Amino acid sequence: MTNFVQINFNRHAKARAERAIRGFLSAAALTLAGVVVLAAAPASADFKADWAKLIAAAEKEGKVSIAAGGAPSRQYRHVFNKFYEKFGVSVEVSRGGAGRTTSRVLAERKAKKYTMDIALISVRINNQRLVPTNALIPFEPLLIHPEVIDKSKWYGGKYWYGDKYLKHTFFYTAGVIDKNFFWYNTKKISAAEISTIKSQWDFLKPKWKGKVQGGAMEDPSGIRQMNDAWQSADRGPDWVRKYLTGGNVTFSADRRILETWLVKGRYPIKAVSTAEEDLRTLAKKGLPIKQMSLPKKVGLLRASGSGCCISAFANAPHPNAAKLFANWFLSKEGQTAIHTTIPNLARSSLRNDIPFGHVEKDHRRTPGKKYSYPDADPKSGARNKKIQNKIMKIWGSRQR
Amino acid sequence: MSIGQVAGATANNCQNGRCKPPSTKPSRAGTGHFIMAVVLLVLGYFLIWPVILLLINSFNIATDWFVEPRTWGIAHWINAFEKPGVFSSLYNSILIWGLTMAISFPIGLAIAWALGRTKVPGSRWLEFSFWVAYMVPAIPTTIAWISLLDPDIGLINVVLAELPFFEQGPFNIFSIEGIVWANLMGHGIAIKVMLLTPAFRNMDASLEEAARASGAGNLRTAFRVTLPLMITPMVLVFALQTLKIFSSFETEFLLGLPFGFYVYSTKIFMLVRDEIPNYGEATVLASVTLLLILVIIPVQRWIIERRNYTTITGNFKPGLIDLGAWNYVVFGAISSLVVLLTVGPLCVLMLGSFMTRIGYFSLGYTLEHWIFVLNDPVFLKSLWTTLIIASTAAFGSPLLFSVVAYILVRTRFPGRGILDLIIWGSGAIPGILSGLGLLWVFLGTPGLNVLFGTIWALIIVVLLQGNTTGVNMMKGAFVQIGSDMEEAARVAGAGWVRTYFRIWLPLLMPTLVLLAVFNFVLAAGATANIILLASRDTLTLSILALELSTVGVSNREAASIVSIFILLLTVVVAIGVRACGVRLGVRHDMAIADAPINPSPPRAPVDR
Repeated sequence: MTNFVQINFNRHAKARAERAIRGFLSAAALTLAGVVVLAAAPASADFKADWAKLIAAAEKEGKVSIAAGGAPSRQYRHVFNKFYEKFGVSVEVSRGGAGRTTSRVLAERKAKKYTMDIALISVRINNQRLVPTNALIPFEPLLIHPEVIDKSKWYGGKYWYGDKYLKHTFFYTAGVIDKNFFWYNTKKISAAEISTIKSQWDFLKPKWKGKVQGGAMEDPSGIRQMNDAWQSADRGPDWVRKYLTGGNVTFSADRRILETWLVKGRYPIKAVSTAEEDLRTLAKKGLPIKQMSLPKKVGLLRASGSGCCISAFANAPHPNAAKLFANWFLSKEGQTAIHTTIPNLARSSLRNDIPFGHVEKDHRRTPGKKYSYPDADPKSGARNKKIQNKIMKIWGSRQR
Repeated sequence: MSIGQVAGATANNCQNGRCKPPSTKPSRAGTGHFIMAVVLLVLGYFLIWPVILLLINSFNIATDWFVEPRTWGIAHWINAFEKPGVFSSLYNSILIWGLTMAISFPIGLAIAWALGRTKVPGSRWLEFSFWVAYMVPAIPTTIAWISLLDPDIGLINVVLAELPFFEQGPFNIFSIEGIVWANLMGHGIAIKVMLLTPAFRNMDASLEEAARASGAGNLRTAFRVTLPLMITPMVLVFALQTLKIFSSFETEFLLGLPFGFYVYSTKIFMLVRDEIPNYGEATVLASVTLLLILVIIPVQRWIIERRNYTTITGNFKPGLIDLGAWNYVVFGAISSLVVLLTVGPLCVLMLGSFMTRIGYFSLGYTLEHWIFVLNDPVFLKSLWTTLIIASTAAFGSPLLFSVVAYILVRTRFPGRGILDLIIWGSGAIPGILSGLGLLWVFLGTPGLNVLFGTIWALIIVVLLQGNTTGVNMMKGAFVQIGSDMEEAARVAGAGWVRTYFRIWLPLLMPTLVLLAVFNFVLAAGATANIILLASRDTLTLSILALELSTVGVSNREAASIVSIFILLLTVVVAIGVRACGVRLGVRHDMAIADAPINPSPPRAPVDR
């Protein structure tokens, strides 16, 4: 009896529930359709109004202050000029080393002084200094431009982040690394000799002692390259240890000195390729240097230096100018400006809908191809820090 | 009278060979205490408090002071000295310093003597050329010498290698000898000539005259009279240069690294220059210099106070030594050195600014870098800021330092020892670290924090920077000048302020002019200690040049252009200040005809 009643009751209840759900779904579908119909048409109108408001507010603020690392401060002058010409909002960029700029910004923030709006700084500094100190705000809420918020226009149909929370350090460029590049001086070393090098381990053979140069670990690029090597299937920790301490390689933290050594032939082999843009320019101008490549077991995308990512500071003094800049910078126009104003670019925008421009062929993504992207792994920050500490210990041990 | 006794002839308060420092009657005790308290507070706060902050924080064992929470311990003190190669780098520093000093000090002294005490033609202009040599930053000088003496591509080596008796270029700038050479050609000799020449100019000719009357020749007079009287400035210059033993690094960095040669300052620099700087261990390493001060101060005091070195009194007699035909030989030798010190680096700077890329002649020449720099809106702002802060330093610092030196030498105010310690202590920590201390001071002090990012913060810092050299040079000048003129002025009813401006300042003018130029150069070239305080609106030319040449940016051509502007600015100001100073200061050409040691007819002052 009890069971029958229950069943009976359940039948009635079920029928009522079904009716209610049907009614709710119909109402919801109608509402949703209405919202879509209503929202779709005025969306662009709303955006235009919001965009105009944003521009007006940014103009009032007058400038956007950017804490920048080496690549942006060296390469983005024309990009920033385009922003200024379009909106009349000036771009103030720090031009020293990213480390010192960050130290200053962090000291200011401790004293409740907020001077910076945007950071164009390496993922390493973002992860190790800016994110842990809560200096950054989530980046996505800043984005309103239709070209930017349409994720289908970005590589992989999504945004890529470099921090462990996947919300602060927004990747906008990456280099394709599917070969191990190196450089040599064609006057000092013959093509036949160089062709004997088949892997990166060959540089460490006694034959090349005193001929190989490398970036010191005080140069952010040097430590980044070693970090890559440490995690690379071709090389690994043993190779790094031998490279740093084996005595075959002469190091300098000064890229211009390394460049002179290569071009003039004092140390005619640069086993690990850095500062490629400048070297390619010199090679194109006829200086006796040439880039070569060795096969790489696993190809990947790499966030290279300060030109990889953008993040936004909390308590920005010019929040509207910062928002305007972020949206313009990531729009087709902003990203195209990077591709077309910087010669011999060794990285490309993660946007899929812009021309490659000056991006070097070796660093262009193949459409439709999926790449491994370890920098976008939320655990990469902690992993890289551990490896970096080990590398610095090895590096310290060689300085006699 | 023996020559030795001549040197002590002007002593007026010496007994049994020991002298008390000459002193004026102290002001009322209360005023003295008040003045001293204010001076100690102000200077202590800006000069020593940043150093103390750094030392305290060196016990904060967080690797990144700006990110990790404070944890106290001694790990930095252990780790810093356990770093491989620290002690060998310490030895290397001493080696380079020792070799550089052993060569530059006698040469600098001899040139300063020739320019200050003899009738070498054009000595004022030659002296000025050493100022110019000092104004050229160390990096262009080093790069110039690399271009000339690089074993592979150095111009001199390439030319010599073509000669039949050389198989390859004989010189290698990337060596210990190369580093010493570049140091000598950089500031090594120039700074000593700059600092010592005014002291020689302040010499009273009657002392040398007495020596000559006793039958001594020029050389003997120089060794037995002139040099002993110059002990004060010599000791000061020596001590000041000793203080730099662990802080100069540009030349050693550029030339040492290629052959794996590290000096102590390179180690400190590398710790701070990392993307995530290790200020803790860098402070620990830099604090070694504080130990040096514990040696320098007592030694310097002992030397200065054991005898009287007064050379200018109310009976001051101007006059110069005539070396006869040797005047021209000396002129030729000094001129050649001046050309070596100035022309090379200046040519490299100018040439580099027009080269597509410095060092690559095959790439041709361009105006692109000039257009880049002159179109940079930050450049004009920086030029203006530099002009303001450097001019303020040129006019303000010498006056300020002269008052501090006066307090130290001429008064008996309590706490002079502490004041001396502050002055020396502030010079112990490299700017690259003290800049961080100053940042904390400005950000952490209510009232001062509103100055952060403004030009006022920079002005305060540049006014006080160079205090160790400035105050000590002024001390040297005060020690040289007798108190009789001041006493006469006070007896005649002049107050302290009037006496100071009417008696002291004219007598001190050569040193004041020197310090004005010195501080202008220092302020115009200031980077490390103001870089964390400057905003984009208050950037200076030197910071701009540094930013352009940092690893990431690496635009040396543009940096050269900015350096040229700094140099032009400094030379123009130096010429102006020098012109004023020469008219106002003590002149040896006023009564040359009266000086028995100078048999030649008087010359028009414009000749000098």
